[in-house]
Amino acid sequence: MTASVTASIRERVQHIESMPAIPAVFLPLLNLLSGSGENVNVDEVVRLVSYDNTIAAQCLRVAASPLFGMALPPKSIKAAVISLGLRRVETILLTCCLGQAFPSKKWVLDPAVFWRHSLGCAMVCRKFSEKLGAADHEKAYMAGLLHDIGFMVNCLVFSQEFAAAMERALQEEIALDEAEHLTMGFTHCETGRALAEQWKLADDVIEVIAHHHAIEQSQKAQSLVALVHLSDLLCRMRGLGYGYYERHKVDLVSDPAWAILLKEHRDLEGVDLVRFTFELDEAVEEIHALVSTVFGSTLSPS
Amino acid sequence: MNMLEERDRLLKGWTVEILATDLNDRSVEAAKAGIYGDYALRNTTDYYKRKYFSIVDEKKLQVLPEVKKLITFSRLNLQDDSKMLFMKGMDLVLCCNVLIYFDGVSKSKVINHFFSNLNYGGYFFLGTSESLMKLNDQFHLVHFPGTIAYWKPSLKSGKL
Repeated sequence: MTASVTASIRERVQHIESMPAIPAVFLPLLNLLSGSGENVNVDEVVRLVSYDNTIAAQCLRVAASPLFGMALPPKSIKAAVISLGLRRVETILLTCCLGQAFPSKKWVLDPAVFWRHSLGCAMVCRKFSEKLGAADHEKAYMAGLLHDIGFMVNCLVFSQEFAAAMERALQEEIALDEAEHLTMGFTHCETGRALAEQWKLADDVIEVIAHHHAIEQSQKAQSLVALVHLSDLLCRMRGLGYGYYERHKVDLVSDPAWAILLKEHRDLEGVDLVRFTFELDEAVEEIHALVSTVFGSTLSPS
Repeated sequence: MNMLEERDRLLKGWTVEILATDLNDRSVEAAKAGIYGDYALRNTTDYYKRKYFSIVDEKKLQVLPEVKKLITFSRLNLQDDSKMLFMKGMDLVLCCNVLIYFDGVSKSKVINHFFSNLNYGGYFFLGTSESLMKLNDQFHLVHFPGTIAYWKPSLKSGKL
């Protein structure tokens, strides 16, 4: 991709800033959560969330969903933090905020399908991370949730070009990033990166957004990028893809991402991928329900 | 039936032969008869029912001879090494919910037979939730949309 195309993407992405639907709490919260976590305190998160009752209420409902494991809805954000831990509540908040961050236009990509993939990938990343004994499971969740935000940019700023790419993917049953390359000359990785940089996300999350389809290009966060790459592939093979049939054979163990992860996490050898896949299948219905809960109000009626 | 559907498209030029086996003679006879009730046909679409079955009575359908003629039915004990050794040249092996009855050593032996009987590039399908974990490390686990299979890599892939 040429420098002029990159500059053009950046310029057009800057207009996203003026979108009215971004909750006021979203960007400060995202900045807060993108940090190391050491300097974040509960009161600061509670203060930020209390600005937006809708998000606070949604957060409490999501905390009670099977994906986050609370049997009864917590009575307050602070109660949720005490039960689930600050990191977990942060990711719930992020999920809810993201649901409101994009306007409910009729998108080229069905928003419900997009959110199911993103949430599914977030969940798989966290489960994978837990199995590997990685350091920060919630970081893995966040990376999974945000890895495809470039598709949102495409829907909002490059809708015509992206519609052609989507049509080609459907017709030829190929991967969406491949169709983007063929028709647009750039992909959601580049547009997502432009948005992530504008939002000043953490470097490792930007790496995931920019390189999850080309892990070898990742310099600083190869392990996290590899984790998201594999989770993304698995979701697309188990009914949490982009809503069309992708003719694709995926050999996760032979994927270069597997070798990258294996170097850092020997526990990967003991992961039974068949069992792991069925754990994902069991969660698919929960993900559908969660998408309705979190993103229901922003989804256009179909 | 799926293969007949694809004979002019994906399988154009292929000669399809199917070997269907069971340990139990009565099961083999039942398979030869090819008569199925509602429950067995709960996932079969009306299109397939109309095209490939004849009506036996109100509740039963029978597979048409044109489907059956692709299939050889025979009794086979998967633990019979002498027979298993000579079943070469398979492209596809489907063995659903059978290995669950075997102990670990027998499972490994049967799976090794399947592996050596498959052509390079061939596929082995197990039942839902069955896994080859710790039983065989020669097969590659591969995902297709909605399906998991075990693959014997082709020679040109350089994996074997």
